[in-house]
Amino acid sequence: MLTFRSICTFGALGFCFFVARGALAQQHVSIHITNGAILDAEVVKVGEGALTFRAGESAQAVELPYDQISAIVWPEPSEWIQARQFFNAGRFEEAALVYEKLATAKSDPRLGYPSPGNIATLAQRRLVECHRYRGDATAVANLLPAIEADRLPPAEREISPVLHAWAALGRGEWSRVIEIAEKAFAGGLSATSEEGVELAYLSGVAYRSEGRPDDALIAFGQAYALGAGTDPRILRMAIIEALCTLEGDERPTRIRERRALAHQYAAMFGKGVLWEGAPPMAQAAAKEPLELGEAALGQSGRSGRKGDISKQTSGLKGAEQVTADHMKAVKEGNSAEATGGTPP
Amino acid sequence: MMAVGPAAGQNAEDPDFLSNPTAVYNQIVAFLNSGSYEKGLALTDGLIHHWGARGKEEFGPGFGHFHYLRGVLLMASESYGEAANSFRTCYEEFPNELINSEGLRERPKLANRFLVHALAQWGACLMITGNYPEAIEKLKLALEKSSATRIRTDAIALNLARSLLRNGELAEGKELILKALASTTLPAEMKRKAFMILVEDWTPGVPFEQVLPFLWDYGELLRNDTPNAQWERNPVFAHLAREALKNEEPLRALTWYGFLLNPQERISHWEIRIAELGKVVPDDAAARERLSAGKREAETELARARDGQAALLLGVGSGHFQLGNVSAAYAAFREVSDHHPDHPQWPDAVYNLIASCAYLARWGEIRGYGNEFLERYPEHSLVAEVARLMAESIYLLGEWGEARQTGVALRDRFPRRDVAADVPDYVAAASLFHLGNHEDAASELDTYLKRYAKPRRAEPATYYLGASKMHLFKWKEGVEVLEKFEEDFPDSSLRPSALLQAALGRFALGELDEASAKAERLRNDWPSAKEVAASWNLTADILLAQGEVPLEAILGTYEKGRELASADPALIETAAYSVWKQIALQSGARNHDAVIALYDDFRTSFPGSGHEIDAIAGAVRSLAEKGRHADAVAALQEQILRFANDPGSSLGEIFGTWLAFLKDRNDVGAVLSLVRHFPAPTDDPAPLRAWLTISEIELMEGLGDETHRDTIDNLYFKIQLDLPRESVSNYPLVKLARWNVARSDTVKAREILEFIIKTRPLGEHIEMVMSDLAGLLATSESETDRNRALAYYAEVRERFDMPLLQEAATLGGGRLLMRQGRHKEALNWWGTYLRREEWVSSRPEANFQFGRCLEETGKPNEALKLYVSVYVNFPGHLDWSTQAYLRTADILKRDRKDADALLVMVDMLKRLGSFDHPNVRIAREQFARWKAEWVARNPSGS
Repeated sequence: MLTFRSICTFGALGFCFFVARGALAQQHVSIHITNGAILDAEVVKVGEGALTFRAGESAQAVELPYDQISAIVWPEPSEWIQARQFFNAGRFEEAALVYEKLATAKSDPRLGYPSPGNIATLAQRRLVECHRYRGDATAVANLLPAIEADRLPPAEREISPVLHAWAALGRGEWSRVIEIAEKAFAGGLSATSEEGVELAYLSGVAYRSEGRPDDALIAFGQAYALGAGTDPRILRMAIIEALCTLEGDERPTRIRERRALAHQYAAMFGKGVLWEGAPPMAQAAAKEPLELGEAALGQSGRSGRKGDISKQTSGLKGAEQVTADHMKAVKEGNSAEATGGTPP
Repeated sequence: MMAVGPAAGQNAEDPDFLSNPTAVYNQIVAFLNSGSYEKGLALTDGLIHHWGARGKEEFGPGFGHFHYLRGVLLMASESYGEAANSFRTCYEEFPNELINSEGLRERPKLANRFLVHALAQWGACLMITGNYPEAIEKLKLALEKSSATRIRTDAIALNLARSLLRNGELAEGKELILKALASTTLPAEMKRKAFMILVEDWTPGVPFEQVLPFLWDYGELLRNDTPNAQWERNPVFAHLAREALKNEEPLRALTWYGFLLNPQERISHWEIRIAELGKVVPDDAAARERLSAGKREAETELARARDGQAALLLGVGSGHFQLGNVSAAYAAFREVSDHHPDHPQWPDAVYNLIASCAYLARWGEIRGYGNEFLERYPEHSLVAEVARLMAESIYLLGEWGEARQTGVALRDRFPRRDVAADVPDYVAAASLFHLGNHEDAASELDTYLKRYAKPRRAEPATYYLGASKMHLFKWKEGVEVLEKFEEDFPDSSLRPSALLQAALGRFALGELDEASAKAERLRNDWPSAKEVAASWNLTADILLAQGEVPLEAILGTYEKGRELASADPALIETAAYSVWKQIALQSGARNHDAVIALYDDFRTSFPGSGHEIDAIAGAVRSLAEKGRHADAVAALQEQILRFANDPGSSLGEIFGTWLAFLKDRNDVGAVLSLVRHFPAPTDDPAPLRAWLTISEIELMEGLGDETHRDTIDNLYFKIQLDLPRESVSNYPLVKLARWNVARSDTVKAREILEFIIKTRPLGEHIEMVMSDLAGLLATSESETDRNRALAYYAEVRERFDMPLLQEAATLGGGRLLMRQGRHKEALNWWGTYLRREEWVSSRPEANFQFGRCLEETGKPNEALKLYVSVYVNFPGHLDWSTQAYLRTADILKRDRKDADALLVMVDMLKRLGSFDHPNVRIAREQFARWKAEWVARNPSGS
């Protein structure tokens, strides 16, 4: 399943030439046949239902229908590389612009459309991911149905429940979002995985939209509590949504929860303050002193076996080794210079 | 000079090899780089030993390189102390400044290029062994000397910073680190190391507010790192988070947890790896061994990752829990409970989960997880606490129904008197009180207090037991419990309430002085208790009951109660009571203007109050007097319509008031018309319809005209057949039952009365129900029924301050016992009757029966006195005077006082002989017989 950290890599193959679609295409690609074989080939023609190519040293052009091809690995255009760099750096707006351009340039022969694994369709797929990470559910909902899954590489054809949930959210289908999440968890998805955390967040938004604030707060709680150590973006959004959900709730339990969350946001994300436009009660709560309740059972019970501050900690090891680096062999014969190795 | 040496693998004891330092050097370096530290060390030691002092002579300071290498190898083997010595040797014994025997500086044959390196490493070793002051000295010197050397000064600076921090020189150490972090040239990897040094060595002793800016500015360094590197740092942050939790800094803990890599990534990685390894088929033994090793490693790492995840969740849950974020705490502890069932801290997690569920009102989960805990760990030390938490957390949130259900289930789960059942038992019982089921509450609380040697909730249980008794009008028992509560729990926060209720109880028992003293003590000892307002009302009630207290004094006392109660919105009913009572007083004194002023104040200040009906009832006469007749009628009708759907006491009270008000000002015909044309709602609620019908019946019955009989009967039938019984108030049902008795349908009558007893045991007119039902049961063939009758007679007699009913009940009980031949018990009943001088309806009978009981219990002479008093004082009550005569004569005859017996008979016949009474006929026959016998024994005729 695709995660935002994973990258689909494509080998840079040989030389790329501009050719018109249907004319002689001299791109070197890697063809993954459905029987498991992999062919290095020079593209002759990218047809509607088949690829024509010359394999290896052969001069003979061969036509292979797409239903016998798992995927074709195309050379990465520079735009694709640029978009990927933006994406990996978390610059999703910029990445989206480039991906969108690629996705709509189906006639560009570099992109290999409509073959399986073509870059235009892949760009579309990445574009959905950009919208996801930008939190634009409507865009996900609009774009997801348009993706031609059979033109993607096999590993990318299955759309994760998270994307389906985003799309449902974009269409305002709150119950559907909740249903997708419940089904995913029932099917074994861990609530502590990145996808599980994200689904919890989306469930929270759906519950809140359905007018079920208490369920929403638990879903958001699941997101930011179980998501410790995962994508801080989701955690931050979950806390924001939780605080918005708590606005106006004056039950004593919820007052304490609001105060705790406001302080947590300020400490972890806000550099001491809440986000601009935070609701009034949340802002007031951030200024109130924290009141601690009783400790949970077992809170002080166990001393750690792990994490002892000792020479085994990462910082110390790194410092200690630095001057032992680069001990190199000496060359014989140079008595004055060649002993002792090259200093690091 | 240095011959080309042989290839690697030469022996450390081979002198030929050792003679070639270059080759040896290269070999040592090869060992170092390949991680073969032991071989490298052996070779280094071998070479140093081989050359001894000649090494320095032959090769100059450059020979120090081997000591440097030795130090590095020892560091790699974690022998830091020895490594420090080697570095010291390299630095101090192989300097590049050579002074010859003539005192002149000589250029070394082979310079020692690792002097600064050795110094730096020496400092590092000193740091590792905890000798921070010396480490600082060496590292600072290394930095000073580093300008002429190609050496990683950033690493030296970090070691120096660490040493400074650990030596307590926080400012200087932190400054070095911050300099490194702010550097534009330092690689990210080094910056991360700098960050970690500050995290580990500076943050623990610093307030969190000072740590936060550092995290804000540089925290991203760690997040933008490889997962493997992040995973390696997890133990550090986990430790810091745990320490923060121990120090009760949950926000700090959560912040540290935010720096961990989520273990789920590792779990997924190792699960995939195990799956992949599962598909591998090894070719040979070596491959099998590698595969096994690989699987073991994967399984170990997977277990470690899972353990790490559980620990993370527990810590995060604890942090949120203490901050009061129950949603997040719930999520975290639930995840542990569901997915780490074998974790050693699973019991703690479930306990915390239950506590979180209580705040979130997730009752089903409380029971579900709690029961799972109890089933899996029946012997766990937390069992009693989990049971307590399950029941009490719901109870403390005021969810009485849920608390009752949970408490009962838990109580029944454990053996009797088991400590784990204690608090659930209390919760189950006390919940009944709050649900208004005072009868069962009293019973269960009493049982609870006796069941456990040291009940954990003895204090509140005792209080609620007393309060339950009060609610059941069992004044004496209630007062006893509450006064004992005061003795047993002198420091209880419930004492003011207990004291007030005990005062009320004393008042209900007619012990006015005691009641007054308690009320005053409440005010003196707890002047700020919320019960003080009600105590003023009680004091006013007492003054009223005492009589002969000036009206103004009583009114002023009520007003004090009102003033205090008005300051607290929770005491609005107390204030309303005060005003109502003032209305009643002023109405009784016919101060109509004052009544109206109070009435208008009441309607404005206390709309919807439980005392509104009483206030209106108290004011209607004054309203009428002052020309506001329409207001009075409207108010009464408004209240009737307000309670039109409620078969409880309120509708009856207000209806009765309305009817009485109408009767005061209208003739029967007009009232009947008003009743028949009452503006009932279109849906004609059954409770209101019942009252209207009964009123119509009673008005027609009052006319005394038998022509209305059929109409009356039809109306009774309407109540009986058309109105659901549960919607009809008690009084109409009692009337219905009496009508059925009059029609000889005692079965139906009993059914109606039993319905009331069962469903409304504390309802209004229950004394009438008990009295009527007792009358029916007393004539039953069943001994059980007759015993019930006696019990009802007793209850009516003791519980209700209603002389007519009490008299009837006493008579009923006495008669029943006489029929059963239970003369000893009947003696008490008749004695009770006789003590009440105001009871006159059956005094002759009571006297006679009392005498009869004396006679039957072996006191005939005392019985005689009673019999004589009956026929002397009540001759006209033939049923009893005749029997009294006959019993007297009988006793005398038994005592062989035949003459006296005959004289009694003579007196009887003389005084009562003209009456046609069965006993008179008996007396004549008896007299004739006895006279004949007398004459036969005494022929002289005297």
